[in-house]
Amino acid sequence: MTRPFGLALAWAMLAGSVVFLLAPLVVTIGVSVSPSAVFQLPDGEFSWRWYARVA
Amino acid sequence: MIHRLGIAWLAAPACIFALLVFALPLALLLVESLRGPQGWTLAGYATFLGSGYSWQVTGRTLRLAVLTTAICLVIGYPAAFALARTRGWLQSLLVAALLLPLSLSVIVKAFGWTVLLRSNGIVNRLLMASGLTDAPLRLLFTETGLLIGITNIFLPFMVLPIFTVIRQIDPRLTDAAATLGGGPFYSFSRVTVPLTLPGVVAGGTLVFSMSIAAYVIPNLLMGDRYQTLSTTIATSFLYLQDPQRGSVAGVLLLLLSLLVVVGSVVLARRARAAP
Repeated sequence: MTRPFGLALAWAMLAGSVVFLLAPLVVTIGVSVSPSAVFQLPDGEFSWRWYARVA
Repeated sequence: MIHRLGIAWLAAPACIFALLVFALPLALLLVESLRGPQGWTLAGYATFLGSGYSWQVTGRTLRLAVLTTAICLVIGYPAAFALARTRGWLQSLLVAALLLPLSLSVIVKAFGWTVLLRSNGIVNRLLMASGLTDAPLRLLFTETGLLIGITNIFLPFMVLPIFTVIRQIDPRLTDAAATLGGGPFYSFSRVTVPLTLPGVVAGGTLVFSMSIAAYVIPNLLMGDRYQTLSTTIATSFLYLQDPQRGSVAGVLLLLLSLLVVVGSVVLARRARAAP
């Protein structure tokens, strides 16, 4: 294993880790603006209805 | 001598707090596990250890903790290595990205994973779009899905201790190894790895001890049919009204965790002492 390959692998792991760690947060934000009553990502339409309900 | 005693007294509030908050509940758990209708007894342990199902649950709990720790180490070590190579605002941004998920509740993250891992979820869509699979994989309510979810929760606890240790290593040491004829792999395995061992042990200990006791994630991503020692404890106390069984499972969980944590620390010390 050469040093540039090792570093590239390490960088790929770091980038992948960040995406992997933030994925559920992004999904949660996405679901929060979904107009659907079902727990799912918005399908083209966005709504603040859940925020309005909490406020 | 008086000065030392004064310093020792400063630790007294923390010691009293630790005794009250940690040692006392554990002592009560131990007492409960040894108490029977006719006084002190080991019957609870005999019943628990005599059941094949309990061994199955214990094995499953250990496997989950070991796999989680191994996956976190495989992903976390190179990630921490790359993170330590960054400087300035990029490093701050990446550390913040690692810390940010810790501020979110485990329950919210688990529900986030249910959206990601369902048959029409993003993970399956990506897998099918990349041509890795033709049909959606069953990820939710499987051990693979659980491992993905639990790794997501505990990965920062592996990355951050290793990152802290790597950052303190003088980069000239690997340069010196290269100057002396050591190839990249040799200098990595003989210089970097031994020096980062304390971080690996700290991260491994944290991830193992938290994943062996994980309750929310297995419960939400696997449901009731997947029993670990933690879910057994909850079931015994909350539903079966059997505090002795719950206490026995609790004591065994504590012993397993202690055994692995102490064992890994001893092994790491021996590895560091070895020439």
